[in-house]
Amino acid sequence: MDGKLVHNFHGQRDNIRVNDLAISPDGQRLIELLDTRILVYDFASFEKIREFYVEDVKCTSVTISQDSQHMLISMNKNRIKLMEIESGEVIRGFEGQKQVEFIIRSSFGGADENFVVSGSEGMLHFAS
Amino acid sequence: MIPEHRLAVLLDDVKQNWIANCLYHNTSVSPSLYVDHCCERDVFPTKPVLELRNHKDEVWYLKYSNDGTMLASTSKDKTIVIYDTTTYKVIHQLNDHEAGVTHLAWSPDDTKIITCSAQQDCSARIWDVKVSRSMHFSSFYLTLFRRVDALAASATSPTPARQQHGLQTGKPLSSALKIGTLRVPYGTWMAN
Repeated sequence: MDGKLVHNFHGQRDNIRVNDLAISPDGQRLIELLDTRILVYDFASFEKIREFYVEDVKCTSVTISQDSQHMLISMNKNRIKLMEIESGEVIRGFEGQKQVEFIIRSSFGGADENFVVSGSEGMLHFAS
Repeated sequence: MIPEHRLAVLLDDVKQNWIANCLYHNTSVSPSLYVDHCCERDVFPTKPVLELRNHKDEVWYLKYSNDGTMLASTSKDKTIVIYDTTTYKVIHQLNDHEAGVTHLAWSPDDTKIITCSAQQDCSARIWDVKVSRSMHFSSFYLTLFRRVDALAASATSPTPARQQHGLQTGKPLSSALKIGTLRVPYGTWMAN
């Protein structure tokens, strides 16, 4: 709590842009979102355990579900994907929202996280 | 021989099937068996009930506390506002940041929040919520924090060292990139 740097995940020379990151509720995983890559680290050892590539899109935000198994990633343009963290398998994709220019975030919602909620340029979207 | 509790198991399966097929299902209450279950669309929150206009510029992030009693929002106007969720009255207004506040995270026990700000301030602050005072301030050279998931890690890792990990998970970004591309739309503000 005194602000000392404990770990730097990337070297000084790495010129990368992290668009978003999230820690899973169980404290085991750190997900780092770069433009076209998703990096999964084990939070206990800081080791990178997975790396997923996403083509043709730019990932802008990530949210992890309460059970720490799934992540929701918003992407330019107009796409949201629900993926399993351990395998990188895309379980569902969502469309209908508009995301082109701004950072739009999405999240789980509803009783038992039944829903996906996303902002949109112009309105708010729900998907079941 | 019929397995034990067979009827209860079958009825439970019926309920699970209803819930899986219910498009607007948004309750943790177990459905009644007297009628087939199907949630109506108007039970679903589709209209704003309250608009909060305490910020003077774009609202960039907001989050309810873990226990749901408070709501904190951050803005380009360099302030953080904390509301009480029963009345949505402002409980605290935190003004120490010198640039737009991009993100915030609540500690697991809701006594503290950590916030981070954009250029040129480039700092992260930990606040004690009850006395609305900044407890700790860290400045980072040429960094723009997009996100701080700070104290989420301390729930499972109680040692002080772990809390600092959280502070550093807002990673340094390349200073060459334009900050202007990180605009967040005003439309993300919604009060439930």
